[in-house]
Amino acid sequence: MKKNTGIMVVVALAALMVGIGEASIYFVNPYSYGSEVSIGAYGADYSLQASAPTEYNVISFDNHGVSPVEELIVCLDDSGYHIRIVKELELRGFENVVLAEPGELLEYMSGDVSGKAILFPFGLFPEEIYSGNASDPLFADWLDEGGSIYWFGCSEIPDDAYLLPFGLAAESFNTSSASEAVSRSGDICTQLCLRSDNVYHGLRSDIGTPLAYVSESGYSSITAMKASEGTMVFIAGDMDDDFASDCAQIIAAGITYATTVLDYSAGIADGSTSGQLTYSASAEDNVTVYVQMGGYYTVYGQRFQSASA
Amino acid sequence: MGDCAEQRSSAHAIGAFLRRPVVLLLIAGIIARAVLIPLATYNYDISFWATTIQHNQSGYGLYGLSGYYYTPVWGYVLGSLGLLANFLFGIGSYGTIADPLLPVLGAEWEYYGKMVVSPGFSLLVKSFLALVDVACAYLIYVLVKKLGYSDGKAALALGLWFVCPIVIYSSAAQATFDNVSIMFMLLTLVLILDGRYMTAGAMFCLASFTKFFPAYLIFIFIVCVLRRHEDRRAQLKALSYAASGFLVMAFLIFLPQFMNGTAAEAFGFVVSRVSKISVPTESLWGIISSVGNLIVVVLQPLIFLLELVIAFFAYRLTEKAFKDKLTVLLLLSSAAVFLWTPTPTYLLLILPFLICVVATAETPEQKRYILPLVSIAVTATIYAITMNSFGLFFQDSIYYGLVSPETILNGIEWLDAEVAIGVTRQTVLNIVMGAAVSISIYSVFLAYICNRKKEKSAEEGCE
Repeated sequence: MKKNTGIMVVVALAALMVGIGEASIYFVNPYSYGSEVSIGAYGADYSLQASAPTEYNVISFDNHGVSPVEELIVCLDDSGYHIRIVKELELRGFENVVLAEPGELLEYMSGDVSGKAILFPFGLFPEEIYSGNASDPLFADWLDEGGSIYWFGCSEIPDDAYLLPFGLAAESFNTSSASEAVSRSGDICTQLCLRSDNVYHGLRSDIGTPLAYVSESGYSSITAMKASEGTMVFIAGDMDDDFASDCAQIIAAGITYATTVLDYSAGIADGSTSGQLTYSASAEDNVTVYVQMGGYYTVYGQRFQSASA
Repeated sequence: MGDCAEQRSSAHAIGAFLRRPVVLLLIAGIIARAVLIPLATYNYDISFWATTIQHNQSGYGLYGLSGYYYTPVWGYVLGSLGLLANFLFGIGSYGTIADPLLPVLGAEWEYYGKMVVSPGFSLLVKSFLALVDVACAYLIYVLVKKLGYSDGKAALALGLWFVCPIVIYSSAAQATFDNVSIMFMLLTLVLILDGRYMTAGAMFCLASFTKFFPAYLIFIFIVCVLRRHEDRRAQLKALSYAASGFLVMAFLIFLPQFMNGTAAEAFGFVVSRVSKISVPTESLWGIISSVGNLIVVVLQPLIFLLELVIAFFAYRLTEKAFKDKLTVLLLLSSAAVFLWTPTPTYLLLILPFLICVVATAETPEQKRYILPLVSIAVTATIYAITMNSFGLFFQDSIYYGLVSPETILNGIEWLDAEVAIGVTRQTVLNIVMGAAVSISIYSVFLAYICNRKKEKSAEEGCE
């Protein structure tokens, strides 16, 4: 039997490696993360828990009176892409998601829509919602009342008449799929560890607020802009993993067209870690604090907001 | 005086040991890996391993979130590596986006990526893969011994694997997991030769569901099982044991996916490769890749047929001929998988058998296979370096400051420059080296055909 010992040792070690990995992923997950944030007049105190050393970012935002998204309505399509986004949102502690067929959207577009957003997948808006007129429900019942939109755009850019109520034109969008060099748009991109660099179908970077990356040719991969009384977020690219993750990150963090970064803290959380962010008293009522762990490989996210944010 | 004599004797023994060819080869292999692992990291693939571990940590398993496209075995291995990374080595950061290098995203070549993994993470993953290289080297040694060859030839085979450039590059620079699949494949073969069929079946399952390529060898492996027994009942019993080992392991591997309803996602790699055939693209290399994927699909029936023919031929040989030709038959079976131009690291499938043939070669005809071995080892490595190019230095630049971003960007700009309308230098290099790799693969068949012709001439001469 001695001649088989070496082989069986290799078999055992390999099987152990596979078995322990499988068990840790599916049966006895040893990883856990948590956070608590207390938002005060001049700053926010945070406390983080992580079962193993993990990068963290804690960011305080001023939304300047604009309500962050509390409820997301996803307009369903055939692609199933929304499933990725919903799971990424769950990972970040955002679970107030409603799935609706295009014909059902009107039912949700009534009453107080402030703090609500509709996510439209790739393509034109459903005709019941918007067909090119500023009096259509998308404006009359939603954007004019403070509702928000997340839109993944179109492969064939609509004509100017369709885009006019948004203050846009066909030439506002990038129609070239060629690879482009990009750079970060600012603090939100850095602190939220956004990854979406593809500007195909993106909006011109001088329109609204670029949130992620901006190309040399002047287009933005993710843009937030004020649309009537609400926020409209344009998401470029081709519905890949980075865009699903970043879309979820922006929603979970409560980013609006008016959001600015107040303060941030970053480091490695191991066991219990605590710290403090500071800001001026005038920002207190509009403060949102977002905790994320994992850096560019997000494993946890949670939003905290002041009572009137 | 006695002590001095003993010390001189020990020193002499150590010196003699270190001068042994296989020891020198091992030392060379260790040095090469020790240099490459910290200093050359191709981030594209390894950043996906970080994403997989991230998803495991977040509690979504391998397929709950999008980002892992292989069958589960490598994902489970990554799960174990994640445990080591977090709870033993305290690696808190897996990587970052390299701002100074973001301009590379404007290059036509899409495979530089923007993520740069952290040194701690890449060191862990690549060190593990280097250990797998050691395991494969050992298994090749055992295989050659089990086939009836001497210690010297077995040691030579071990050494040739360990210093093979593409083997070193795959684990120490590119961090791909082809060697994990090869390890399970070698275990399968060794266990078959040992008559441990159930364990062999389980290892074959692990090999095939780490990377699919070993699955192509199923026919020749079945023949190896059958040839160990003359009695039909014994053959069926042996195959039953192997099949049951395979099925039990498959059940254990895919149990979580059955429970979570994500079994289809486990085969997403196959679907994504086929779907890339029709993805619209503006670049010449994109068109070449798309056509290449189509060729892969079209060649599958021919490859399947070749595997059957080789296995049938093997089954009909006399006992002595089967034993003499087994390594060549395994070599032909593995080479037949790549009638198309593969990613260079895939060629690790061929190398154990090619190395065995070369290490055990005694006649000029057998030594003819040295040329394909050198050719594949060199062209595959150069092809890999060509495709990875300056991407190998991202980590050196961002984390160590050893290479300036300007040097990398200038190098990539040079590769991205057009030599003709729509044709960049990168595309030209890829085409040239891809063709060289394919010619190297076909040289295996060429060597076999030349040897067969010579054999037949010799037989006719005897008659």
